[in-house]
Amino acid sequence: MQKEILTIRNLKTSFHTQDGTARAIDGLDFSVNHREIVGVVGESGCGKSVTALSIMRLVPNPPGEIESGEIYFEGEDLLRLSENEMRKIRGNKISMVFQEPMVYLNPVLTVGDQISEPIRLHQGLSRTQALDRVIELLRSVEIPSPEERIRNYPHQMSGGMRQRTMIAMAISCHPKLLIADEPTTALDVTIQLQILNVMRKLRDDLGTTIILITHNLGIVAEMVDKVIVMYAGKVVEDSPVKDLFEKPYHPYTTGLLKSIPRLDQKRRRLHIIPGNVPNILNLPDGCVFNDRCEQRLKRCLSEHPPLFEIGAQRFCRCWLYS
Amino acid sequence: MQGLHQSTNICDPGDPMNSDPLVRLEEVKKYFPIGGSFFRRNTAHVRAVDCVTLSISKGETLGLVGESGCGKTTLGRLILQIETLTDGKIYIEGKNIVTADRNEMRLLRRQMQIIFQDPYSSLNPRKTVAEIIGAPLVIQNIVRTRRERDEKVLELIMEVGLRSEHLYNYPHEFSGGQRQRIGIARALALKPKLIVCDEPVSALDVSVQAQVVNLLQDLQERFGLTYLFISHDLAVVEQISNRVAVMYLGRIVELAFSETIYQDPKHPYTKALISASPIPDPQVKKTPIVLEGDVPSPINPPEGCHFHPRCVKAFDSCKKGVPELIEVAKGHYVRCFLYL
Repeated sequence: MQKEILTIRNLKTSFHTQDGTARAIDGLDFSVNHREIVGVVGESGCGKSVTALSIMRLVPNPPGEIESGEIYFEGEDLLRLSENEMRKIRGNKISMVFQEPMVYLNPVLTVGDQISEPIRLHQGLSRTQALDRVIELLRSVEIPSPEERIRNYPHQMSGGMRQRTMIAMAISCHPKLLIADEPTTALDVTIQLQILNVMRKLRDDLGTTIILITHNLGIVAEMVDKVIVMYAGKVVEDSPVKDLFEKPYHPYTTGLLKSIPRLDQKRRRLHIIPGNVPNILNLPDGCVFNDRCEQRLKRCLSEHPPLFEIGAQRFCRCWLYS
Repeated sequence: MQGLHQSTNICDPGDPMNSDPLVRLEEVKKYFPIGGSFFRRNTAHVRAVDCVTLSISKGETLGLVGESGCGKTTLGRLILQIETLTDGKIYIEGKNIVTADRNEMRLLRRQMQIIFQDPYSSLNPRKTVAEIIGAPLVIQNIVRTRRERDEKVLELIMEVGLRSEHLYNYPHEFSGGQRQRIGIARALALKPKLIVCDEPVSALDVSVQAQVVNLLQDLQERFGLTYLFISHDLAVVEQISNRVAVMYLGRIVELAFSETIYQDPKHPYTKALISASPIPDPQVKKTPIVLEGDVPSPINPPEGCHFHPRCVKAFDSCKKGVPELIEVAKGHYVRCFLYL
């Protein structure tokens, strides 16, 4: 059963700054199927976090602005909803987990009260009913002795524990879609593994669809079904995870996969992608990757490539495949 | 000399292939006092580094891995004497630097430099590249005039892959990777023998990480540098290091050649660490070892082996005694009762 739960079409989100307009997302297209874990990968400034904020309609305005496009969630265009209607979706049907749990948790409220807030808001339970539900939730994200933990303040918890709390809060209303923006980047690897396992269980047990935003290709390989590779505000490759790692098409993806050190293979030297991630205020003409690309054609300098369909569910934004 | 009291004769985790150590640590300890106030004596200590004995050979890269709070950064800072140690000895080329006075220390500092993790906070935003990289040269009276300084700095920035027109730019004009190159050039300025690299690529983008790792390897070859490479990323450490030391709550729990540590890890913690490091290939199937709980607080670490509450193989002895670091194969050291 391949049902699309989220479809993004030609989304453009910009930030108007003193130095000019930064097109953080420039014509984004992708879709997410029901019960799927989709990985959005890319480096800093590629627009992966802005994608998440756009779906949640949390792009700070000003300076940010969703200029155009459509975001269909269960057949409904989120961008056409009123703020009130959107508020009923946020934290309820779509929720989000952020990178730095300490920044997003309120330091003067106990975690019990914080997690129960969306439950009381969206499901209208009383405080005691909600707290019982919180204990259940904390247990489901594997926090030991949750009855005592609900009285803790965020600073009394470790980083991994806080991230579990964030996840508990995010799943409190059984969201259909969970967006996790670098959920494990601030954590140690052994704790990262615990958190990823919790997320995988969410999908397997509750059927939650997950968009996992990360820069770590290792996590992508182990967790997701489908990968969206972003570069400078655009999708450059969209592929099932196995195919992508077996045969990446876009020169950026190829270079990226070759440049990461691997524990299971000793490489004498790492492959290098020359240059730097481009500044989105000052993008090259034509293909955004052309200044770093080893297989650059003449055409890449002037014409911007569309997303070509190359195989079954495989898309790549590169003139090599025209 | 047997028994619980560790003698330096028992175990010397040096490089068996190279008996010429540049740095040697003997039972190095660093306890940070906490909870003390003007009227109250310190009641507790954080045992950041707890009895570490270790040698780093000339020209080698020793990788130091561990999770946050395990003391890896403190160990690096102790070698540079940015922190004063609580107990123990540190030798650089056979000279005990702990007892060195101010003048001797100033000369010793030429031989050891550091590259920091965060290329944003480690460069003064109000100084130009020439001033930042030239600062150590000026402090050590190696250059006398501004022209001399700029000439030297120019050589250095070419060495790290920046261009001559960058000389009078300010840090904010550079990307993260370029800033890290500035930090590397500053560390190279005094032609040091040892560079402590404290998570030098952790803050960088994936595509830029490889550039900096390769640069560090090139510079090592050219100048015969010795690195202490501190990182939480096992894959990066394995790529660049000859030997790898794994730390857990202030103690070294395993030390081996970098191929060995991946192919034949002995300590249960090392095994868990390797299994938790994601491999960018969906075809590779691993049996994940999920550790229970969090890293315990170093203020009040568990008795006995620090790792026993999270260890799947823990038995009675682990709760009571602290296992010694023993050599299980040539150059492969493990601190675990399973191998005693």
